[in-house]
Amino acid sequence: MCRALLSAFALAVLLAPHSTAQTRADAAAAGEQAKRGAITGRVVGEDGQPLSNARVLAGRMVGAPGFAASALSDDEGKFTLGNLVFGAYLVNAFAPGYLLEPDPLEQSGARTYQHVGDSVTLRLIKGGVITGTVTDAGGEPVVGVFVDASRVRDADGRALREWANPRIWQARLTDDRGVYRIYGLRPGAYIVRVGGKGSFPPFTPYDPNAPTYYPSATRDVATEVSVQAGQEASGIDIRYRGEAGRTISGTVSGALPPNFSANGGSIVVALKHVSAGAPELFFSLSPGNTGFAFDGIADGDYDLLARPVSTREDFAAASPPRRVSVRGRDVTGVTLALAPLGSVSGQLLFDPPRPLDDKHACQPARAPRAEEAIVAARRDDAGDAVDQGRAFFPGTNETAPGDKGEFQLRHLKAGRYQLLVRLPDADFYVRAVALANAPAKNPPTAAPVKSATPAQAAGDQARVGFSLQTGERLSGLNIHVAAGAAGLRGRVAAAADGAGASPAGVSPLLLRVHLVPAERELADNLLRYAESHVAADGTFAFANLAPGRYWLLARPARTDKVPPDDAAARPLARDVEARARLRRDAEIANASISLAPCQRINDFVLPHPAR
Amino acid sequence: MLTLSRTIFAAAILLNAVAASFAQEAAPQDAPQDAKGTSAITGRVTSSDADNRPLPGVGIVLTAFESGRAVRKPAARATTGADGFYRLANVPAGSYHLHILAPGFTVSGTLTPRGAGESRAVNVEAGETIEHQDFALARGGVITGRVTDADGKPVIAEHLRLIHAVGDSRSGPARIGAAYGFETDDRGVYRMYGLPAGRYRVCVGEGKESAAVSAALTGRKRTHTCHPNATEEAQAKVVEVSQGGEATGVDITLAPPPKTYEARGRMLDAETGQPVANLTYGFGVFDPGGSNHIGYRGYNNAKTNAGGEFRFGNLLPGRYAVFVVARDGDAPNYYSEAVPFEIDDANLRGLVVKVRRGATLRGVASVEGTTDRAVLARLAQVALHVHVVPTHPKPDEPQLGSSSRLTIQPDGSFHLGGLPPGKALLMLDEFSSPRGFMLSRIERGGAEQHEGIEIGAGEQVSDVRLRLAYGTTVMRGQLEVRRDGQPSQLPEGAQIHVSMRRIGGVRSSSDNLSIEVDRRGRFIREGLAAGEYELTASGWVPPMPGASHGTGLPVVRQTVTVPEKGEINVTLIYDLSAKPQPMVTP
Repeated sequence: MCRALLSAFALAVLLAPHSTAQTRADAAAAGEQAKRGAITGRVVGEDGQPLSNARVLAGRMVGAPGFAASALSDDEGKFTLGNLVFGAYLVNAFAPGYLLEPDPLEQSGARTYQHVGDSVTLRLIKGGVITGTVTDAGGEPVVGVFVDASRVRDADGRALREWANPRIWQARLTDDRGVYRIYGLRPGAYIVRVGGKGSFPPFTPYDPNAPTYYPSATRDVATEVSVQAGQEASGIDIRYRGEAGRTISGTVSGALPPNFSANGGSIVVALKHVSAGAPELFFSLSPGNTGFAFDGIADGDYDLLARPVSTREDFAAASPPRRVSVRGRDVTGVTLALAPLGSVSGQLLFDPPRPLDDKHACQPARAPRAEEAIVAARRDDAGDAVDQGRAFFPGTNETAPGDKGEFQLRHLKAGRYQLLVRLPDADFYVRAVALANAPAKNPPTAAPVKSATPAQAAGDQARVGFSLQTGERLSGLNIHVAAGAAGLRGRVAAAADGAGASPAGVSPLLLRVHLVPAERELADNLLRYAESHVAADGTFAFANLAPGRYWLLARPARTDKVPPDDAAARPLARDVEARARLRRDAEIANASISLAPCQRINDFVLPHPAR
Repeated sequence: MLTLSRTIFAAAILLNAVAASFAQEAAPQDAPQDAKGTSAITGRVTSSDADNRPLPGVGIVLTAFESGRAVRKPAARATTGADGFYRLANVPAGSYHLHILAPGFTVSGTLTPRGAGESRAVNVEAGETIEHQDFALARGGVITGRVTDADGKPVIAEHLRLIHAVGDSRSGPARIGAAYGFETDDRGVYRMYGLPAGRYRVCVGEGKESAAVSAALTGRKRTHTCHPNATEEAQAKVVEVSQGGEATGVDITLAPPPKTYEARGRMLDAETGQPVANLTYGFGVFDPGGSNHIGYRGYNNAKTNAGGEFRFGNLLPGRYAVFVVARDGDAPNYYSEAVPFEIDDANLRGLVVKVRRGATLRGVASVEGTTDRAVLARLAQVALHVHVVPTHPKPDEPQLGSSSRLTIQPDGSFHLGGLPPGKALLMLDEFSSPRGFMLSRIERGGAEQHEGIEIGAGEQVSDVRLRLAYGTTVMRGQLEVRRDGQPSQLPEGAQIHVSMRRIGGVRSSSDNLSIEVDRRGRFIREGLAAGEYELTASGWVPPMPGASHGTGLPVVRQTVTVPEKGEINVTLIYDLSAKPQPMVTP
C-alpha cells in the first residue's frame, strides 16, 4: 500500500513539472496573511445527509494542481481548508467506495475551481461495482491475479479521448476462489483486464503473460461492461488464457539538457491502447539509458509517447505519439524522437479604475484577484481539435496566474491555439489581448488570416489566439481586463406561443446561442463574440461581457449528438467566413440588445429559429 | 506526514496513479543477452502433504540484491512444470533473492500469508548451476468475515491485522503484516487466504500510540478493534485455522469513535519573551507504558501565527509533548525543549514553549580513495543525518534530541542551523546515498571528533571537515560452521545474517544492515572502501507454525582487512558452541 502511494506520488511529480514553481509562488506569498483565507464546506451523500471522515483535499492550480491543504469532514460533514493563499483551487473529497459527483463543467472541457472565501457542498455518490470469477482453461480458479477495469466511455456513451478524469488505483487481486470485486467505479463503460500488469512488485505468477480481456479476448475485441451509478455488474466471469505476452521495445532519441539525469530528471514512456482514454503502462528509463521495453503485451494496436520529466529543469519535450501494431510477435526497434515543447507567457493586467464621475463607472464588488482567473490554451487547428498528446499527460494546458497576474502555459506542441480566459468575478471582462514588447528574435508567429489585411491579421490573431513553432517560447502575451462587465441570461422560446418548447422538433440541447457585436468596427474583434449552449429547458447564459450593443442568434449546433459533444468545439466566429455569415444572419434576425456597464439582464426571450 | 498527504492528494486528484505503481523500471540492455559465463538455478516445488506431489504452475522470481539494496526488477523468472521442477537460466554472477509465487499456498516453516514474500538469499558465481533450491508448499487456510461500524454500516477499504495467538500479544513470535494488504471491500467483507495453519487474533485499526498520532495529524479517529468487538488485543476471540481450512463469520464490530480534544499555546522567545511567528511545531506521544520516553512524533504543515500561537486538534486522551521542528527554509532557526502536557477529558489552553536560537554547523566534505570526476560529482547526493543528543540529560525530563538531514552542496560545503546544544552525531544514510561512499572521519579544527561534535547553545561551528571514503571492493564470504572447533552443520531452517562495520570509521546506517547468508553459507557485499572491518554473524531458527519462540544462535565476530580494489575472499568461522544471542521479538 505504502509503495503504491509512493509511486503514485512519483507519478504525480512527473506529471506535474510545475510543482517547484508552485512552491516558489507559495513561498513568495508566505507571510502575506491578508491574502489568505479558507475554503469551507460540507460533504454530503446522495441523500444530502452529512458524511463524516471524508478526506477533502485542495490543490492549487499553478501550471498543474499542487497539494495545498487537506482536511477531514467532521460529524456534521463540515470541513475547513484553512490558511490558503488566494488562487484557483480544485477541491475533491474522497471516501472509500464513493466518488465526487461529476463536475457539470466537465462536458465543456473545463473544471470548477474554488476560491478563498467560497463555501462548497461536495456530494459523494456510491461508486459502481464489477465482480466475477477468473478461471483457467481447465475451469480452475486463478488465484492472486490482478484484475483491473479501465473506463472507456462516460455515462452518456461518449468515448473518452482525453485523460480528463482522475483515475484511482482500483485493480484488485482475485481471492482463493478466483473471485474479484472492483468497486468505487464511475458510471460508464469499462473493459476488464486480467493480468498483464508489467513486472513491478508485488510480483505475481502471471506477470509475463499477456492480459486477457473480458470475456476471454484480446484488447481489440474486448466486450465492454456497463456500470450504472452505485450499481453492481456481477457475473463478469473471465476465462484466463495465460498466453505468452509480447514485448514492445525501442529507444528514445533527442537532445536533453546537460545534467538532466543528475538533476533528477528521467524519461518516461507511456503505452496506451488506441481505444483507451489514458495510458495503461509506463516505463521509466534508468538514468543514462535510452532503451525501453514493455513486457506482457497482448496483440493489438497501441500508441507510445516518450516524455522527459523533471522537477528542476525548465525543459519540456515530448515525442509525437507513435502507433505500433502487435500481431503474435515482439515489436522491436520502435524509435521515439523527443521534440521540444513550446510555452507562452504573459500577464493578466487589470485596467486602472475609471474615475467615479465617469458615466461608465460602476464599482466591482471587490478588488480584482488575478490569481483566481484561469488561462487556458486550446488547440485551434482545424481537424486536430483534440491534441493526441493530451490522452497521455493530463492537465498541462491550463493555469492560474500568480498574484501579479503573471502566467505561463508550458508543454505546448507547435500549432495554433485559442487563448481562453475565465475570470472569477462577473464584474470583469477581457478588453483586449495583445503582445507587449515582443523581443526581435522571438516575434509573434501569427499565421495571416485569410481576407484580412496583414495588420489586422496580426492583431486579430493576438487578440484570441497565438501560434507556436516547435519549442518556441512566446512571451509578453498580455490579457487586459476591465471592470464593468455585463451579463445576459434568457431562454429560447417558440416565436408563436413563447412556451420554450421546440415546435420544430429541434431539441434545445442541439442549439447554440451566439452573441454578435452590432457595432461595425468591432466586426472582427473576436473578444466580442460569444457562444452559449442551451439547456434542456431552453435557458442560456452569458457572463463577463463587454458593455455594448449585440445581436443574438440561435442556431443549430454543428453536431447531432445529444447532449452535444462540445468539449472540442471551436467557436464558430473563429472562422472568417463563418463569422461573416453569422453577422449577416444576426443582422437579418435583428434580435438586439444594448448592455450598459455592470448591467445584468436575466429574462431575455429569444425566438426559436425556424427549421 | 506532509509527504503522506501530498501523496494521497497526488494519488487522488491527479490521477491514475496506479499505472505508475506498475511502471516498469529496467532498461532492456540490462537483461542478460549472452548465456556465456552465466549460471542457472534449479529446484523443485512440491506439496508438503504426505504424497509430496509436484506442484506445477508455481512462479519463481529472482531479484538482485546489491550492496544491501533490493533491486525491484526481476533478474530472471520461471514457472514450475508438470513435474514441479523449475530452472532459472542465464543468471549473471551476483547476489539475489529467490521469491516463490504461489498464491493460496504457504511455504512450510514460514508465517507469511498468500505464499508470497517468502524469499531466500542465493549467491551465484559465474558458470555454475545451483541445484536443489526446493520448496515444500501447503494449501493455506482462509479467514473471512465482515467489518461494520457501530451503526452497522460496512467499513470499506479497512486493512486487516492478523496476530498470532501464541503466548501473550507482546512477546509472541510474529505479527503478520499482511504482505499484499488484505482489506475489506465495499460491503465490508474481507477474505484472507493462504494462511499458515494456526491460532490467530483478527483486528483492524492501530495500536494506541500510532492511533494518537494519526488522529492528531490527519484527524482520523480510528478505533482499534479485534474480533468480535474487543478494543484490547488480549480480549480478542482466538480464531483457529487448519491447513486448507476456512474460518467464516469472523466479523468485527467497531467501537464508536473516541472523543478528541484540542491543545493551544504560544511559542515565546526565551530571552525577549516575545511571541515567535512562522515556526513549524511538532508533537510527540509518550510511551503509554508511563515512561518518559517519547515514541512517535510528527508534525503537520502548520506554523505559529503572528501571535506565536499553535494549536493541535483531534488529540486522543494521553500524554504528549510539543516542540519546535527545525525545517529547511524556516528562518530564523529556533529550537525548543519538549514541553509535556496531558489530555484528559477537556481542551487545554495556555501552553508555553520557550524557544531559543539554534546553533549552526558549517564545513566542507571531501572524498578520499578516488579522483574519478564522475564519482566526485555524486558527493552532493550523499545523504547525511545529524542527530544531536543532550550532553547532560536531566533524568526527569523527556528526551527529545534532534535529527536533521544535512545536504552537501556540489562544491562540498554544507551548513545546518537550528540545532540544540549537545553532542552532534553525524551518520551516513547508505540507503539513500550513491553506492560506495562511507563516512570515515569527522574533524573539527583539524582534530578528529570520535565522540561527535560538542555544540554549545547558539554556537556557530564553522570548521567541520567530513572525510568520506569511496570504494568498489567486493567481499565474497563463506561461512564455515563449527562446533567446539570441529566442522559442523547449521540446524535445519537456520537463518544467518552478517553485518559489517568499518573500524575507526564513523557510524553508518548500514552498520545494522545485515546480509542474509545463503544455504551454501555464502554472502557478498559490494562497494566497500579499503580498511579494517568487523564482521558480525548472528542467526536464529524461526519458530515452526504453532510454536511460540524460535531458537537463538550465537553471535560471532571477526576482523577482516579490505584492500583498495578488486575482490576479497573471506572465510567466517561460525562456532555454534559460542553463546547464543538473547531472543528478541522481531
